[in-house]
Amino acid sequence: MRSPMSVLTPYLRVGGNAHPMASLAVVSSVLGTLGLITPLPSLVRGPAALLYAFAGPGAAIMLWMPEVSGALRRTLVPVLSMAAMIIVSYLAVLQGLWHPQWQLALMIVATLASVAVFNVRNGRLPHPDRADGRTEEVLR
Amino acid sequence: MTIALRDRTTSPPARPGREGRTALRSALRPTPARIVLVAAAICWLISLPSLGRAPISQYGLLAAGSPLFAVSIALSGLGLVLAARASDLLAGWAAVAMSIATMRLTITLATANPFYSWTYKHLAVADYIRETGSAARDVDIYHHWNGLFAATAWLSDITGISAITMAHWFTPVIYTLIALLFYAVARIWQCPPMIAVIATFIVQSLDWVGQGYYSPQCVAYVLALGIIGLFGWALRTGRASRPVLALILTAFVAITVTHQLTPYWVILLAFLLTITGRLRPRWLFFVMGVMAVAFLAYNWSSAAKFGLLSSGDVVSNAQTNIPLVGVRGQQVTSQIVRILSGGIWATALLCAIWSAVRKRPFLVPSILAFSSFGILFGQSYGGEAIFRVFLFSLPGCALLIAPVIERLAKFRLTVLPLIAVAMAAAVASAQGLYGAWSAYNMPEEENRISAQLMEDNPVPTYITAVAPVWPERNSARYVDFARWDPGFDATLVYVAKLVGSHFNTDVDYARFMDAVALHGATPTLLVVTQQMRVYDWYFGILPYDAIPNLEARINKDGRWKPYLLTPNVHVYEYLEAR
Repeated sequence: MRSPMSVLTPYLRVGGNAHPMASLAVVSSVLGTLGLITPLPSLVRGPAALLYAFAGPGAAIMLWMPEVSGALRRTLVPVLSMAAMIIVSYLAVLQGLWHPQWQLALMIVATLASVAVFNVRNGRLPHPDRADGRTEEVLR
Repeated sequence: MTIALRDRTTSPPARPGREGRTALRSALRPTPARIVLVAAAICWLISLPSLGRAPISQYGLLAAGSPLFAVSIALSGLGLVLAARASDLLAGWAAVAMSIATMRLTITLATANPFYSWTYKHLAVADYIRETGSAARDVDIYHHWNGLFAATAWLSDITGISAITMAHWFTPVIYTLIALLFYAVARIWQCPPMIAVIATFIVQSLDWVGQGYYSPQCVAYVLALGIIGLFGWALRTGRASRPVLALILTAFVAITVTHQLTPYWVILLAFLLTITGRLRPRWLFFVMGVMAVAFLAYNWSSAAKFGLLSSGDVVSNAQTNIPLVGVRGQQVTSQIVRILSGGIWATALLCAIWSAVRKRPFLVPSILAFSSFGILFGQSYGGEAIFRVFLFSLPGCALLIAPVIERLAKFRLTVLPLIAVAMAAAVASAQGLYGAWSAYNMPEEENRISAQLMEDNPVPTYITAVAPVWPERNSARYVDFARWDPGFDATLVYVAKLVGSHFNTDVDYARFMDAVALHGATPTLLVVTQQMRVYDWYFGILPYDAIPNLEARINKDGRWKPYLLTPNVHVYEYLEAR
C-alpha cells in the first residue's frame, strides 16, 4: 500500500519540466511547514516560514496567470503573498478566529492543492505506466 | 559571406562553461561606472561603523557622520549617470543597490532598534493583536485599519521572530522589493531596460520622505505599485481580463484594510485612466470606490473625528505638520527638500511637455505623476498630505524623467551638468532623510523603559512625557490605559500650552503644575529624557535650556520624587496624587 505522500508527490513535482511557479509554491510550502513546529528555534522556522509567507501564496496564484509575464510576473509573487497574508490575518482578527498555526496549515494545503489542480488540468500528470513519474506531457 | 554562413551553421556549439566564463569576464570588466560604484561601496563600508556613534548635530548625519558617507551617496548618483552613458545595465543595478545600502540599510545597521518613535505605536497594535487575537476597536483608529498589524502579529507567531526585529529590518527589505517591483512596472509601462533602471534609481534614491519605515502607508504603497503594474498590463492588452481584475481587486482589498488614504489615490488613478480611455473595463474604479467607501462606513466611528474632508483650501491642506520654526539646521534641511521636491515636479512637467511635443507617450505617466495632487483638494491628512503627494507622485515623475536622463547622459555637452545634478539630488535627498537624525533617533533604552513603566504601574496611572518625543505607546498594555483615559499619556507642554517656554520663570512652572494638577488624585509619572531636549530644540518646540530649567525646578519641588533615574531618562513621581 502506498503512503498518501507517495500518492501526492507526482502531482507536486519540483524541477524538471514542472512549472517554475509550481516548484516555488511546493518548495516554499514544504519549508513553511516548519512554521507549524513551534518548539523549533526561530532561527530555523523563521526564515522557512518567511519564505512561505512571501512566496507560497503568490506563486500559487500566479501559477494560474499565464497571461502576465516577465518581471511583473515574478515581482507580483511577494506582493500577492503579502496581500493574501493581510487578508487572512485581518479576517482572523475580525471573526475572532485567531489561530495562526492552523491558518498557516490551511494556506499551505490550499497552496499545494492549487499546484496539484493546476498539474492535473494542464496534463502534467504522472503517467500510469511509468514508475519514474515522468509526466504525460513529456511522454507525448 | 560564405565564411559567415559556415560559421553560423557549421561551427561547433560553444563548450559548456565558455558562455558562463564570457559573461563573468564581461561582468567583471572595469568600466568608469563600475569603478565609481566600487569606490562608493568602499566609502560606505568604511563610514558605516562610525555612523551609529555620530555626535548630535542640527545638520544631521551627513554633517556629523564620516564625510565618506556623503561621498558614497554622491558617488552612487555619479555611477548611475556613467552607467546610463555606457548603457551598462549591470552598473545601473549596482547604483540602485548602492543607493538602497546608503539610504535604507544604513538606518538598520546604525541603530539597535526601530528608528522613529512613532513606529512603536504601530508595534503596540501588532503586540495587542498577537496577545489577544482581537482588535481594540474602541481605542483608536489603528485597530480599525489593522491589516499590517494583524499580518505582523500573524507572521511573528508563525516565525517566532519578534515584531520589533521585523520592524527594524523592514526598511531595507521593503525598499529592495519596491526597487524590483518598480523596475517591473516601468518595463510594463513600455520603458526599455536601461530607462527602467534609471527610473528605479530615481524612485529609490529621491524618496527623502522616509515613509519606508514599518507603517501601513509603506505596505499600502507597495501593494499600490503592484496594482499600477497590473493597470499597465491591462493598458498593454487593451482591457483587464478577469484574472487580472481578480488580482487587482485582491491587492485593493489588502490596501483598503491596511491604510486610510492610499485606496483613494488608487481609485483616483483608475478613474483618470478610465476617463482618458486608457483603462478598461470602465466599472473598475466604481467597484473599487464602493469597496473603499463601504469599509470607511464600517469604520466611521473611529474616522468621524478626523472628518471626511478637512477643507477645500488646497494651500492650507498642503501645509506640513511642522508648524514651528526649528533651528537653523532644520530650516536648511526643509529648504533643501522643498527645492528638491519642486525641482522633481518641475522637471517631470518639462519632460511631459517635451514628450508631448515629440509625440511620445506622456499622458499615462503624467496621470501617475500628478494625480496625487488631487488629495490636496480634500484632505490635509493631519498635515502629512503633502508628503503623501510627493511619495505617490515619485513613480510617475521617474517614468517621465528617466528617458531624458538616458538621452542627456549620451551627449558630451550635457553629461557633466547631468552628473552635477544627479550627485546634488542624491545628496539633497539624503539630507532630507538624515537631516533630523539626531532628533528622530529613538534610543533602545527609552523603548525599554516606556514598556517597563506601563508594565509596572496599575491602571489608572498617568504616564506623561514633558514634551515630545517619547515612545509612549509601545506595548499591548497601552490599550488598558487608553480605555481608562485616552489622554493618559498626553504631552504636558501641549496640555499646558507652554510650547516655546524656557521654564525659567515661576509663572511658566506654575502653569505647568496646573496642568499636572488636572490629574487630581490619580498617580502620575513624569518622563524627561535627553532625546526630548534634542528633538524639541531641533523642531523649535522648546529652547535648548528649557528641559534643564524645568528639571532644576522639579528637583527643588517637594511634590516630586525621583522614580527612576538613568543618565538619559529621568522619571518623577507626583506625590500630591497619593
